[in-house]
Amino acid sequence: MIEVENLTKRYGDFEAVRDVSFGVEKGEILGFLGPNGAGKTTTLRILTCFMGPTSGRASIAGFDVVEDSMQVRSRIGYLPEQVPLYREMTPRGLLHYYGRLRGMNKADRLAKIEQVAAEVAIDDVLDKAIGKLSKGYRQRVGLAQAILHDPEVLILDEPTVGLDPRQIAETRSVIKDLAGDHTVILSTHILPEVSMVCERVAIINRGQIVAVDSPQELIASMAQHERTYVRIRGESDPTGTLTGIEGVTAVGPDREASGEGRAFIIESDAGADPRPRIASAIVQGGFDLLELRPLAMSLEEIFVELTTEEEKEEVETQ
Amino acid sequence: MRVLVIAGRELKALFLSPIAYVVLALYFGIMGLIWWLITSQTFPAEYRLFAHEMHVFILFFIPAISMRAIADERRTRTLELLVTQPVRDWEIVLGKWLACVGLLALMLVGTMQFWGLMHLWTEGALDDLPVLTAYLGLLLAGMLYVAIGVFCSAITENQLIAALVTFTIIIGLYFVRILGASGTGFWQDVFQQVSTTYHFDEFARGVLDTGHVVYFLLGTFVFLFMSVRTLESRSWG
Repeated sequence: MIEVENLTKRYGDFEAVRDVSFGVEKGEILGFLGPNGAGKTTTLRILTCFMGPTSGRASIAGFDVVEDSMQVRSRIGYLPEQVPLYREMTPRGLLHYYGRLRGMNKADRLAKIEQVAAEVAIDDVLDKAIGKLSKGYRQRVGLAQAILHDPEVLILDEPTVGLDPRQIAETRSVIKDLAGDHTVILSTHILPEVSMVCERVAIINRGQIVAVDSPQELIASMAQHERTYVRIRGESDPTGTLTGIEGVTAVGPDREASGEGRAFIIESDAGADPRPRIASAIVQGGFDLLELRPLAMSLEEIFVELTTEEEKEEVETQ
Repeated sequence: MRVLVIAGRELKALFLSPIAYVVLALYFGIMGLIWWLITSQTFPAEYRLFAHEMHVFILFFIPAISMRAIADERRTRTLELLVTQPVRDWEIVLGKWLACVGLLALMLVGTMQFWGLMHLWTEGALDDLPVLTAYLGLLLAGMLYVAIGVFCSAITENQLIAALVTFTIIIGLYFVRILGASGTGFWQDVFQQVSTTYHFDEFARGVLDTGHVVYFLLGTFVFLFMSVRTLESRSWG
């Protein structure tokens, strides 16, 4: 549905986006993840035909964003960062306005406005001035505007920024419900959002895509070592026993742990699964094994690893 | 028609903010005062004198009407949403321009009460033709000034700067004729041809000449075209 090939955008000497390529399948939600200033908004602005790329191509539903810009625009619903809306208008007036610009007739608009207002839960504020609405409502009015014409593709730039936790949860559930009928790109710098809402993630850093995969696959492929958490009760220090286990590369106490016994985090080679060996070694060493569980690498750790690795490399090459 | 949708919203926004009311009230107030001044000195007055004053005072009000057109959308970032709709950039510019011309037309129509008064006082002896051409001249000149205003509004996100630059350009076009008055030959011609007063005078005298109509329409087109190019460049955000 969305194809991006070798996209580059330069502002003067500054390369905001460098050689970015990715694709999004129909009905999928892609999380576009990156630190602030990584090039997320620039990429989305090229996809929405706000501006053209310096080089490379992007197409939506087979239409090129530069050559068939009108075709692309009519297939997209866009929620820009910070949700810019006319403050003096009412949500109803605003939705009629954008509906008209998109060539919807009156009967169509009346029906769709009722429908989307119910979908994003703004039906109780349809006739209040937008400037007087809370941020959560404004965000959802923006979302209603984006889905009014039933677009094939939805592009949402940081849709949950500045909302309180309840509003964030509501907005996310609305977005999740939209997938399937719509193909969605959701940009964010909030990690839990991605694992909660998205089926696939593209991580962008300093204008370049550093990884594209499902959150689970990303976690699996990034895990260079497995980690196991154990809690042990015993008279003497079990560190020596633990380091001696085959496949274990490092042992460290878990300083955050509290409660009975001592807690350790054991690192081992990926795929070795040392859990049975750890269990028997602890028991044979005369300790009581209170708890043993594998620790999964979180998306957050992967993100930090991917985005800082890049920086390290750059520092080295300089 | 998307141009009309944009123009309609823009005109509504002008009336939802105090701008439209302040502009209309002040303009009618000032024109009423000037009407009184002119008729108290020469009675029955020539409508031509009044038309000149109307021309002078739209110079002051047009920057206030056009300043927000694009600058405000840029400041509040609603422009990003507007330009990503299936709408061409020229449709946006034309819509904005049309809304401002609409308000200007309201200002002009409001002053037609004095035309009616003049009819009553002269007991039908008034020659309507120069009045009609004067109004056509005012509308054409206003269309050019609004186009300049929309262009200035497209190059900045600051409404005040847009208004000041607009005012400077249109007052310059109004007075540039004076520069020509001292010179002779070529430069006199150039300054005269560029100035709006030179072309407007003919309308106020009751002369309808294609050349003068073309001057205002061409000027309007040039500034609207530059506005579209400015919007297209997206060298902002």
